[in-house]
Amino acid sequence: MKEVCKHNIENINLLIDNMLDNEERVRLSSHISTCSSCSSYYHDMLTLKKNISGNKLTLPIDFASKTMEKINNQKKSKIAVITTHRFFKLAVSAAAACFVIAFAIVFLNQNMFANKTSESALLGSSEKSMANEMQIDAPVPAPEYEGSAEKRSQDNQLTMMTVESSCESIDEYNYLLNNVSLRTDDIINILTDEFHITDYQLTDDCLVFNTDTETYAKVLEKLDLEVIEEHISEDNNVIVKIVNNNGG
Amino acid sequence: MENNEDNIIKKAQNGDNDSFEKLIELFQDRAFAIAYSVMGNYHDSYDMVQESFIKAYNNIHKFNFKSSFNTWLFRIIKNTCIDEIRKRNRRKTISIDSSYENDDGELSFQLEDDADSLETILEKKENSELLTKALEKLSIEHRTVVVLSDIEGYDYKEISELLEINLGTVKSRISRARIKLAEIIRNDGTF
Repeated sequence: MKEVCKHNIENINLLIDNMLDNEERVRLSSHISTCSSCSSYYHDMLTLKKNISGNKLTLPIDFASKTMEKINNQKKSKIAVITTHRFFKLAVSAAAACFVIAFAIVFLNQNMFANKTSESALLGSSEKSMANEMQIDAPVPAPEYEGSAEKRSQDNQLTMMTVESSCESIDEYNYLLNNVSLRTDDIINILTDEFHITDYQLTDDCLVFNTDTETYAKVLEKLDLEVIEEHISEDNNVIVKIVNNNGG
Repeated sequence: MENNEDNIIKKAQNGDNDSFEKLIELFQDRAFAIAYSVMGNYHDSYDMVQESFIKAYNNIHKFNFKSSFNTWLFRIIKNTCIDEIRKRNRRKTISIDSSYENDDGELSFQLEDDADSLETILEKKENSELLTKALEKLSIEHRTVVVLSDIEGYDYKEISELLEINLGTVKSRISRARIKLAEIIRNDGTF
């Protein structure tokens, strides 16, 4: 059994990787030429590097186009989900608008009936008849509030059309994505990329990350997190546990 | 003057899908090497790179040019791979470095007197297949530095930045990784 000189193991690798200064390179090279153990170790490492570097890892040439295809399919399915989500919101808005209009009609009719009764007492029969005709013909005023039902309905229709035709608009797409719940994977990306939080652990149920309170405040400003637990220590360190919704 | 890569990124940020496809073409092999260094096999690495590019596409508007695109993408790939491994609950114990340390904590490497040189073994076997299998057997920590250094040609400083570890750790990790790889090849090469 022959043992390589301990203090040279790392340096031999540095020599192979051209990381030594001239003086050290000359010293080590002359040692290698006289020490059989270091010499065979040097040649092994050199052979290894030479053979590995010939093993360039490559992907098929159609990888980029296949990935873009997948991105486009994913975008379409997400847009479909968002459209459904919007459609549900639209249906709820429309139902609420109908309820308000129906309520307004009933309310106005009651008021008019009351007015009609008091007017009947004052007017003659012909005038009563005229008044009745006028009331029958008079249009029911639409309830006025900011953004009428009609306008909201138009807005929603426009939104839906925009959603369906927004494949080309990244801003619109991102806007829409930001309006649905982020997956934990996306949250992790934001935590690492924007807030430089690298200390995190993901389990099947939750994501736990560790940061300072100042950063955490900024995170909360940006993200709507489903926090399960948070512990703030005296040195302004905070450990946060949030729901992992990747599986959902 | 802005470089071509920055121009492509900006166009991709403005929703130009052709530019994003160009970005994939530019970075796909480097991305694959990084995923491979963590996953250790072709199929999983392919999936992870694809998933990472989809994440990059969805978040490209957040790239702010403060770091290089490579570093930004690397982080996405690394996290995607690590999350996948965690999901599969097959995370292996990473550090086996101590087996190469003596009582003083120094590296040691012993060769059998009659051991074939690696050159001989690699000549006997199909190089590529043997190396691929050996790389798969390395720990994630070791495989990452070997792939980045010896396959992708990153220098020590770049590896230090990408892995967010200090230069000294890169040096010792590369030494340990190569020793381990040599040992695996020696064992597998004689089966």
